[in-house]
Amino acid sequence: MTCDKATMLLERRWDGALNGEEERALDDHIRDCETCAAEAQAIALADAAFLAIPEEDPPVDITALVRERLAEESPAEPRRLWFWIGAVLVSALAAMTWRSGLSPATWMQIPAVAAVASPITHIVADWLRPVGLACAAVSPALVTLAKWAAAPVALEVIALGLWMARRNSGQIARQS
Amino acid sequence: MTTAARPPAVPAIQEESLVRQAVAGRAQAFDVLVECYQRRLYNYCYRMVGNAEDACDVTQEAFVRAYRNIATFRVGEPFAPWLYRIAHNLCIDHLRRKPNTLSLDVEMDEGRDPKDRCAGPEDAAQESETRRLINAAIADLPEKYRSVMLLRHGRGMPLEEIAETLGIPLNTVKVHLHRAREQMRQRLDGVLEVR
Repeated sequence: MTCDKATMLLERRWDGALNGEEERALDDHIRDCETCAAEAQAIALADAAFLAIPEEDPPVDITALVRERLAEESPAEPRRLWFWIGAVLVSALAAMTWRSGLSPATWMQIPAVAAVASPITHIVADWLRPVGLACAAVSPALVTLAKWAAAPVALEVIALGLWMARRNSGQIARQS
Repeated sequence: MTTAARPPAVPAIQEESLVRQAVAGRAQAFDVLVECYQRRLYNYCYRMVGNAEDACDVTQEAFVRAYRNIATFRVGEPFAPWLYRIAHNLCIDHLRRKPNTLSLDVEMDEGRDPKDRCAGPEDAAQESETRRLINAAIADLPEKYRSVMLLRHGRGMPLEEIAETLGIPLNTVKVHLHRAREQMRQRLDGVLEVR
């Protein structure tokens, strides 16, 4: 047996993972090898040292302290984080559309956007058509009002999204 | 495993269930994990940073960080190396900021229950001296040797888990462990009786 193999077996013996044959082979090697005998003795001595110094109890109740600190905060939930990332992206898209003056029709000319948005647009349009018709029938003024309200509402959404993203990123920064 | 290795406080299967629940967001499950690990983690931090007060702070911070990042823990993997890694990194940060100036042996015997001592005063003095020498030998190990020594002989951790905990290659763990044991042997040969 080589000393490398014996060293490996010494660790495995410490883990309680040697079979009888390996035990005997290792003992035979240690009897004839001073270096490995010294290693075996160093392992036994380290064990004896740690047995002689009992573990200490913490001077304070760490569990209670941790509980107290954790009561003040809740962990960042990945789903909540993804929701806000999505909200910020949608807000950013809305802001870009608004700032650049591009209409939704222009965005729909991009094949990737059209592929994703087209089916959704049709469904939403079907849902909203009766509402739109009803609104238009009741008062054309409502339509005008909605146009005027669109920009402030978009700004509100963007501001809220940015605020939440900042809050979440602050939480992540504290964690790291 | 040798007699020096401490068994885990909870069975592995129960621990895995607790970890799963903690990852799913159940604070009570994490609370139980803290209770299970607080003594072991505190003792690791204590021997790394060198005094009780700092060890309490570091241990507490390690648990808080573990809780904050529990969602990143990969369920099914061993929990101990992940937790010890957080604590170890905090200990290293602490030592960089505030190098160890307090010897462990002074504190270790303070407040020890007299009934834990041997019957005779001579035996008690002898035991106390032995503990002092052992504590000094451990405290004098360089950080990188001390950490592998504490995880292997203090915690009974497998070499692969030590490598994972400390973020170093397995071979480096073996080399550090060999050197740490050799340093301990030189310091304690004749102090302790080995079968």
